[in-house]
Amino acid sequence: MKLQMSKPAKFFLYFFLILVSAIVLLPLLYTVSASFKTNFEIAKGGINLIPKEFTFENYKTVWGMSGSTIDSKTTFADYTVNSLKVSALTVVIVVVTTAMSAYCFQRGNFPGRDALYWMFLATMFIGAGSVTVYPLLQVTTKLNINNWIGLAIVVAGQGSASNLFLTMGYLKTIPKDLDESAKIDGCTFFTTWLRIILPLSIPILGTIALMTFRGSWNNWMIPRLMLAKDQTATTLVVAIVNLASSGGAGASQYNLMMAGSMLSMAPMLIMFLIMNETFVEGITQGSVKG
Amino acid sequence: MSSIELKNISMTYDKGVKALKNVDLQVNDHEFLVLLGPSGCGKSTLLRIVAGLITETEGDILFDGESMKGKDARERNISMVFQNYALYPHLNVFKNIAFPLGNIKGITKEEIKERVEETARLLDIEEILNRRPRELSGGQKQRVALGRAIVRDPRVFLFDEPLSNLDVKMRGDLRDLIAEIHRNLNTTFIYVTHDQSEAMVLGDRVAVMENGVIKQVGAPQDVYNNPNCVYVAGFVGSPKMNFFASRITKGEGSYSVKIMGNMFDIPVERLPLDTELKDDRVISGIRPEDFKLERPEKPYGSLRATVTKCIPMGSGLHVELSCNDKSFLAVFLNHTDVKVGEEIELFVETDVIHLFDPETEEAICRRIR
Repeated sequence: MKLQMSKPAKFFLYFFLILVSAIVLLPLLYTVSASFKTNFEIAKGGINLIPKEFTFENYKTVWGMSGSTIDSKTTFADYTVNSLKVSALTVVIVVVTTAMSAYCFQRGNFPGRDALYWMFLATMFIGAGSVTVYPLLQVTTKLNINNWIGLAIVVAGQGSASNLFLTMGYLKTIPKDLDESAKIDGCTFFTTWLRIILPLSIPILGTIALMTFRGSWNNWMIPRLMLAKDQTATTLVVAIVNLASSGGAGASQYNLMMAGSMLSMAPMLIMFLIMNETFVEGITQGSVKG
Repeated sequence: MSSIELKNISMTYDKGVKALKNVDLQVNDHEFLVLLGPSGCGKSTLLRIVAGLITETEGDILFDGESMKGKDARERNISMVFQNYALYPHLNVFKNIAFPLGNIKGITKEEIKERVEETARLLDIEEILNRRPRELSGGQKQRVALGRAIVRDPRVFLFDEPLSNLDVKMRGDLRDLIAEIHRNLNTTFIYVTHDQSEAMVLGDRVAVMENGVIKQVGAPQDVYNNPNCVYVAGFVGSPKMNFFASRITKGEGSYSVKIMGNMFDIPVERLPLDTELKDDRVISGIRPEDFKLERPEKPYGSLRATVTKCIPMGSGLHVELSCNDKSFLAVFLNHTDVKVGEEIELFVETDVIHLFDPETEEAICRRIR
């Protein structure tokens, strides 16, 4: 389809597209460039994207150093492993529970289903970043789960309603004939899910896994609070932000922060590349009638 | 193999829609029964109840005398072929056919392979065992769906409009294949369709449905010859039967019906003189193919009508006619010399005139041959 537009309209369209792209891309480009600058150059200000003095030192320092002033033995490599552990567990919890609960809500028929569903959805409107943080911490402290496993559980819970909503929408597109056929072929409610619905939900679960991994990886507030007591267990993003106040006499080591941010992006990029394959395969999968 | 008895089945959906009303039906062992009706008549609902996919609000289903109450689809040992094929898109053809076997305990991999290959040979789909459903044509998909149904030995085969999504040629081929499968397997088949030609070709018996009620059950030819109500008379047979509001009078030795101003005597064998009729109003029905251009040997009546339209249909000629301001349709085989505007004489054997009560719409006399 080709859009017919007058010249001024086209001009405004491109103007806003470029403007929005710039707003989105500039900070990222600045981060890339600053990660190769010295802290002195960054502190001088200005938004020159080409570093005057090009250096890899920031990366070397960040990878080898301890992130915060509290425990000198913990390195950024350790924080990366912490983040990977938390994010991976979050993804596992989210994917398993979402896949199962969406199937039960969409295909199952049990008393109180609708009430439960609306309760679930209601949580979508209460962000964990605001009012729920204090009660959440009270609960995790009481349960004594202020560790990486507890963190994964809490983070997994945060997005559950929207994930459920998304997955249910996807399940709606899978014809019920398939469920019925599976039942006739001898499947139970559970094996129908396992052998038919689950393999067919891989595209949406892949998307959810990706979004969850990103959310968990970039989460700052919850790990900052939950793992406050044990800095060695904290996650990469928390450690990077800590750099802001880690320099001598409260000076911020922005150069290291930038390099650390770049390093923290790497796993996300790898995840995207892997999941991309799954997406393509999922989208091209045949439907029922054709 | 199994006989099936439906006892007083009613089905009301959540919104109060009554899909089935007190349906009683006996399906004999090895029988091919066709449920025939327009969309929304409840035939698919009835099939799904037999399958155990939905639960009837009232009544009971017996398989060989054993009640199926509380038994879901997988406990009933049935196979079903769906209109949309319902193939599992993530599995190749071999795995699709093998799927039901995977749920049976104690069956070895070799046995599964053997049975799938045998089924594929029977259906002529050996070449496509490694393909995914999306790579198949509609006809191939439905063959695979048939394969998945026959790979194990179910008690009953259920078909939910399996040929509706196929083109005409493929429909004919698969219809013959289904008939052949029934002959070979000798199992009970229940087949839902809105296509009366399928019903006629395939069914040992046909059950004609309307608005959640079975109107008539019988051998296809018997239902065609002796429809028990206006609805069945109009639904079975193509083109549709012509209906006329008529008057009936007791003559000397027989009843006479006045159709479009012409008198037709109904033989006493069909309508004895002591038959009690409420009044003289009656609905008479004549099938388009029962109008003849030549004088028949059997007792007949005749009428003169003007040709208003000729539609050549290849195998015959469909002719729209008008008689005393009433229009009707006649079908002539081998006669193409009828012209629009021409007045012709038509003959109707009095044996094939159908009569119905105008209030109950039920048939009031049977055909004798």
